[in-house]
Amino acid sequence: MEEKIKKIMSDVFLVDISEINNNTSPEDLPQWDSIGHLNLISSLEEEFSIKFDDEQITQMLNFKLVVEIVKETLKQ
Amino acid sequence: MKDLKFPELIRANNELGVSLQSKDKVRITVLANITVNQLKPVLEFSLRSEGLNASVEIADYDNILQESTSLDNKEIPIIFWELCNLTENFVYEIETFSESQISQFVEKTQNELLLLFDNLKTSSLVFFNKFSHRFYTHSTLIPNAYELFTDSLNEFLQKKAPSNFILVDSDKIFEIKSFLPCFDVRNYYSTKSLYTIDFFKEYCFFILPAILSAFSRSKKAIILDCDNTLWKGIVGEDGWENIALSEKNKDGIFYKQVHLILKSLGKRGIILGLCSKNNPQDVEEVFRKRKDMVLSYDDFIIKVVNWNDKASNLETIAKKLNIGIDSLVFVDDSPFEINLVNERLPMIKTLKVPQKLYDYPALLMDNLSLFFTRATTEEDFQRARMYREEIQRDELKSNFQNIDDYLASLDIEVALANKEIEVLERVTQLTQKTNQFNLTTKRYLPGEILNMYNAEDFDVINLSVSDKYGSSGLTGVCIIHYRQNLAEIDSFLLSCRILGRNVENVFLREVVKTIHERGYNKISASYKKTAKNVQVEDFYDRNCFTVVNATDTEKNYAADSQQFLTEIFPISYIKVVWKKK
Repeated sequence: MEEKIKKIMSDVFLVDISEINNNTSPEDLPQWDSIGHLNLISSLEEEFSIKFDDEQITQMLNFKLVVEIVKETLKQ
Repeated sequence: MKDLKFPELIRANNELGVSLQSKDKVRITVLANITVNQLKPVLEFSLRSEGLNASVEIADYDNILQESTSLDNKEIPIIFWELCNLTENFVYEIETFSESQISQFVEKTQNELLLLFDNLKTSSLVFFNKFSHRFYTHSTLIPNAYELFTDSLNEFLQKKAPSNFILVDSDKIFEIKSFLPCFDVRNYYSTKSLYTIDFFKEYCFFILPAILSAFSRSKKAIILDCDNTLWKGIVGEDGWENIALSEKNKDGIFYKQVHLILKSLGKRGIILGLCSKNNPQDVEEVFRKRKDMVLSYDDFIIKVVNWNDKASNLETIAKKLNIGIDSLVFVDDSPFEINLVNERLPMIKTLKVPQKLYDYPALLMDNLSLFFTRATTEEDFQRARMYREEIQRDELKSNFQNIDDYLASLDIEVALANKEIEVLERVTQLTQKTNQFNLTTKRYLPGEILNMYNAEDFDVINLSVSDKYGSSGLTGVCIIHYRQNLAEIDSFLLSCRILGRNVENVFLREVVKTIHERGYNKISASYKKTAKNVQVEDFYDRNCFTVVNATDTEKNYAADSQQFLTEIFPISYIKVVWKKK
């Protein structure tokens, strides 16, 4: 799943997949602005057929947190 | 597009953008009072997939009126004006308002709309989403204040929106998708982003035909196979009396409805054609003897009935009609033929007759947008007749020894007019659509042409041609821009269907005469090469213009009007009439 999320982020933020690691955050990727974040949310929800809470959305502040929150949502 | 996931679409869009870089930009600006940034990649991708180098800009949030003043008229605006965001809690507030408070809002919005109409009046094409209350009112049995408010503003839109506005019926899109998947309330509260990606995909699909048509990408002809496509059965085996094409025979009703759709396309100026492996006599016999058929043999402008392969026949058809092969749609029941055409001529849109015949009329209906034209001009209605006359002229031509005798026998008359306001739409359309006999291929919008009509330093001359067989309508345009002591031929174009009669030479002579009469001697002109206008690369050379400089893609010319008029003689058998100078 981590690989899948990496691939999604690399496409959404138009960077190479190798540029994404656990700590990758909006500060590292110019495309990860508020619109980029919205695009990321839409993409993850589409891929995993899930729907995040508004709070979860604001907590996704780096790659690691994104993975955790996707896992958490999938469990529910 | 619909099967691509959003990240894949973003990536693919980016790659397409790079590959289309060298092409002319198609600029679209989205004005919205909500967040619609996710529309950008979706719309760019759908246009780039059609070969247009699209660039979509999202204007400043909630600043529609202000932003609409800073657009230039080459941009296509799309407007998302959401009533639910007129104020933060508008949907709920309005139910608490008094009558007079509501009227104030109605009036304010109407005034703003009028300003918007005025700001965008010179744009060629504007998309404005009709107001919708669906999301907030789907469960209200009796219309509430918000619904009534929305309806009254829609009525206003319908009445007052200028003709360059296309009012997009978003409710139809909600109906296709079912409306809940179109909205994301959560995102609306957090970021004012109301619509989902699925909605935007459907939205783009919905408006695409109109954008393609603005860039001359609409289809012009529909070419059909006969057996099991135009009727059920095989005429050569079953006989003309046993094939099904009306309610007289089982399953005939589906074909009859297809015929009615074709007839309506023909009426709009779309060319109907036959491309069938058959004995021509058999096909003709069906049309002659089956009185229950809606279509007549003459409704089909071109018939290629032989035993050659269909790809070659379609190439012949495009050539005979003098239209691009990419403007054909081909319908056949045979997977073999469809595949062959897809392989060999991928630019032709193919439609396969569905297995379930009851789906056949709907298949055509669903694809009518391929032929989208916004303004249907007089010429569109007359086009079928004109193509038919052209074929008659071709037949007559073979009876004459030399071409001049033949031309002289036609009684050709050329009518010219300058800045004729009644034909503004058609003049604009010709600058948009003409590819082959077009020296500079400059595309103009109605507003731009209107500005030239009103400007002292421009002449915009249009040309119509008629002969003893009929009129070809308005088929030529020349734009002259007068600079200090130089007249520049900005555009010179003619529709291909009138070529071969020396009309182009008469037209150029009349243009030069006009320039001369306005007191200008020095003329400049140019040829700008495109993928489609090679046939005119030496047009000016043949007319004694002098090449000033030339590159691979462009040639610039100079001429002296006085000298030209003494060197180039009028053509005796073409009568010239000026309707308006």
